[in-house]
Amino acid sequence: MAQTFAGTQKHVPECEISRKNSDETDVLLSLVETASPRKEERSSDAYRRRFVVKVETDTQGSILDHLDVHSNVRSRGNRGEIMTSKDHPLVRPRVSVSRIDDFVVSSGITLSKLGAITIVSDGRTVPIREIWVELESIMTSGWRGRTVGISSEFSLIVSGIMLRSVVSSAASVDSCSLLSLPSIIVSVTEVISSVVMFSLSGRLVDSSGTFNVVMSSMKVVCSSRVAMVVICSFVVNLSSSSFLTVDSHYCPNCMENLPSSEVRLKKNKCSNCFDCPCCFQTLSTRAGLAPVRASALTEGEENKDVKATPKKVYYLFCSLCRWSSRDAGIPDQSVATGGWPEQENPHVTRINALIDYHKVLASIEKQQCERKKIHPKRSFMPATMYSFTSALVRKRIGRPMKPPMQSQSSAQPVPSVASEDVDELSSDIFTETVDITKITTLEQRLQHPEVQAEKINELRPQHRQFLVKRSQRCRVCEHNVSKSDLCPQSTKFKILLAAFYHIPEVKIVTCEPLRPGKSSELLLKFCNPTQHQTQITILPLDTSLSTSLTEEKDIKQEDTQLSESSNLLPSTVRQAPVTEDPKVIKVVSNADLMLPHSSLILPPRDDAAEYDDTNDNHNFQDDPKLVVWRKGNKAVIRLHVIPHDTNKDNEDPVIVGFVMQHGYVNTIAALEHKSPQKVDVKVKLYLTVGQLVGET
Amino acid sequence: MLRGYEGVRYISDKQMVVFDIGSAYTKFGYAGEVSPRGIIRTEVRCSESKKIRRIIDYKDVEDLYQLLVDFLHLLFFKYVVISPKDARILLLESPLAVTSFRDTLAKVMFKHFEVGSILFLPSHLATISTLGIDTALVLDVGYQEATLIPIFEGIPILKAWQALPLGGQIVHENLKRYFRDTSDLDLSENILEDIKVRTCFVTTLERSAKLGTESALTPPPDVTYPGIKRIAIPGEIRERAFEVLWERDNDNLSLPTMILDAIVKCPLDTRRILAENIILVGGTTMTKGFASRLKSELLALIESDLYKAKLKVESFKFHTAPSKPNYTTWLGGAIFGTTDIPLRCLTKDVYLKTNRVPDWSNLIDNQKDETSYEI
Repeated sequence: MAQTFAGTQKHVPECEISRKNSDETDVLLSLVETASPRKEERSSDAYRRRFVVKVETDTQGSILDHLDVHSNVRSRGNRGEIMTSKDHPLVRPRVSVSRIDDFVVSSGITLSKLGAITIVSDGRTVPIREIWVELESIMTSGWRGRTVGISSEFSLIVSGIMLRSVVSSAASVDSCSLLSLPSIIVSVTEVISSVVMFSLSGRLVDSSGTFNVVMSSMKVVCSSRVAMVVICSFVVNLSSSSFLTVDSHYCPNCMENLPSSEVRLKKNKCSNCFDCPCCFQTLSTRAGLAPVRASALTEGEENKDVKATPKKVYYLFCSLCRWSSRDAGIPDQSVATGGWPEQENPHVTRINALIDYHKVLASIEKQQCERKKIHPKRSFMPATMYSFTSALVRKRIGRPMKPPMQSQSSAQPVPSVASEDVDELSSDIFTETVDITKITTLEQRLQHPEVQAEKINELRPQHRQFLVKRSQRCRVCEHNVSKSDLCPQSTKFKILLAAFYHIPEVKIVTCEPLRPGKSSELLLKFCNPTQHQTQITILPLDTSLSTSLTEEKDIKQEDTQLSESSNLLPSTVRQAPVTEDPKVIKVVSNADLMLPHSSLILPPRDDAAEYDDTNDNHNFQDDPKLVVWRKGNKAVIRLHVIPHDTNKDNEDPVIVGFVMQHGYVNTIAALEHKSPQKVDVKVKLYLTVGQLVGET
Repeated sequence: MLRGYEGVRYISDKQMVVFDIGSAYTKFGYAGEVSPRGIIRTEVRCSESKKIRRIIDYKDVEDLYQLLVDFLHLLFFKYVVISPKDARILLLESPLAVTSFRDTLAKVMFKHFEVGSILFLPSHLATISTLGIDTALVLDVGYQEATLIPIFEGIPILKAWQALPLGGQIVHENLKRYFRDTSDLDLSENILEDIKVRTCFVTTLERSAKLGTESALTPPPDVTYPGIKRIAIPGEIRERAFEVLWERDNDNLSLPTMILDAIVKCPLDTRRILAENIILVGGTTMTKGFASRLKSELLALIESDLYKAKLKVESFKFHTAPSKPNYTTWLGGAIFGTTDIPLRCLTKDVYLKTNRVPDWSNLIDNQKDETSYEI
């Protein structure tokens, strides 16, 4: 099924997206939104473009909201060919996602096989030499206010051969909702194929200790967000309480990395890269020959010599909407790297005078405050001449009712003069026809708030904004739980205490068709990612998480004592942690779960065992009713789900909930302790196991 | 843009971040700078429904909390790019704004982002910082409503405040109704805003009187709005879109009567001065012809029977701030933010101790301090 979206007026390239007609997934590819050139190739015949494909699913709780695929395509052909045809400035090479198969999570929370992407330019398939996959915003729902991060692995399947872990990178942190992630960039240079498939897998644990695994049907699942939380091993704290800090700034275009002091000077903007004022994509610098001036010809012979060796000049060009600095009347530059004229705010001196005046006022106020020694408990005082009760306060602090004259004498800037003249509406507006394409949109105006030009040709390119890398710290002990590499190109982490590596993974293997009041079999697969044997017990949902909490508290106390003694962090440095009110979990379970009587033991992870087919079992005394299958550190258990009778409405998915208790060995804190600590961690899990099939 | 030493001026100190969170657009930047770093829509992708939602559409306080967490996260890490922990924030807020919004905002700032301190600054008062004077009648016409507070000698005359639900939103509704009735088009608010900004204007008083009557003058030319489906925008609607701001409602109120009513409520000796120091802020006042129409409406009203007896003001004068009107308030905050008066800030420690934000309308914060009469 092919869908064609026409470009919107915002110079969005036309795109064609075909998708597999899959009723269950109902994956909708929304329009290909932007296409922006990445760093332009300096080599002669290659030209790079970046395409952004936005993949959105419209099922409730789909796994990926956005997947931005930026693929840099090099074309052997000349630039014009791949870029656009001259007659139709809006015709762009089309990115079509030829196959989005499954887009599905095979089971449980792992998402795999995202699809295949082909780049089609002018009807021809362009071989892809390099793929960049940038995940910028994977949205999650049901994670409101939580600290969630993402841990994911990428693998590329090229022509059927899977290059696993081409980059196994993973990502990040986000204190509120996984709104945006730093990019995960997979770059493969040796791929010569027109079809590239990639997959992403990850899993998630809610920070409040709740797995939020929502599965909307048997084959397809989405919803569980690819995510995880970081875990602070010092306080065994699934870090609902961590905060983000800005680590380093970099330009997303030229990848320049600057220290924060310099960034502040440059107002968070890259001095070399510019955004198109029309469509907000990155502008590229183009070289051209200086046009010969008519005046030069009429003058003396020296000028003729100059003409003999034409000078190279540079101008800015947007390869998406074809805006160029020449159209806007910006003079060409003789150096490629800059010197572009900056638009000055005409009010700078005036505003600086006002700032100086206000500083004088502030210093007067400070002096008077000190003199009068205002009652210290009134630290937020609606005081003095800038607030409502200022007359009162002025009297109170012993100032005259009128503001002191001295401030007006020295620093007072020329007061603004009001005038009766206002901008009259020109009478032309009633007669002149309007070409709406020459008038800027509000978005374009607000890109440059100082000028807010109304005509398209008055727009000026804006410096590109820096992005940041972030790190995440535990709120309780201020240890870093996640910190990425400083270098902007690197996607590695210096520290990544993702819960992914600590909390057992749960996947839904299969579930029998669900009928109200009848029992259905649910198979769950557990996987132990840690280096220690763990015991998993399934407890009813209403089990209080308090036991684990008290244990956590104990550890916290020990930990603080510990660090005080070992002087890891002086206690004075630490502030009392600010506790945020816990988020209310709104998920309601509408099915009963027959809980098993025995618990499950999972052996530690053994990477070598992956390749060893022989020594499967560790001879655990498993309850055959519970454990169905076991291999290495994984096991599948059988549970029974009985959807509630009341749940007649087939619209709502069936959700079961339980508490998973597992033993966790805290190895990091153990570095300081003599022996590793063992804690029982309890997490609440909600599984969406599917829809009701009906009465029959 | 920077003076040679200007960059150095604030580099040692942690700069104050200035937010003006409006109902339609949020202006953000650093104190001491001459223009905001950016102006973005006050909307965010809701982490639950995964739809873009405007903050003003919140359902309850809990919902607002979540929206603000998402929105401020976006602001801090994508736009302002600063670590919010221990940052100093200046928030511009209208004294007439909803208390629950302000309380929730403070809660998000302190509890979730752990900012160091917040300075709440009344937006009308901040505006006069851009003028170098201390008396002005500040009319803020934004998206949801128009609010007015006169300020005399640095003191807001609160009893004369005016507020009417006149702003961009009502213009959008007006346009939307028009397109729905005439061509059965249900246009999204964004398209309506675009049509409004790019084609509509405020017509003159003389023409407006004749609109809709037999003697109506030739309407301005029609415009074809490009897109997947072309929309014809007749000249008449271009001219009439903003008329809703000037029509008197059932209580005989409109934008110009707000100004006059406020002046009437002010003490006698301040009236003339206030009428000659009017400043218009807010995005809607940037519409072509807005100021001139307001002036002619005012002059016509003052001669009418309604005000002739009450008000003896002959002329109205308007100030021009060193900025575009839609970020004048922000600029006022940015200028004020350089003063560094820690006494006026609400610090994290105080907030966590008291768990409330001081408010002018709350008696706890507005008690007469007995100590004030000691001297």
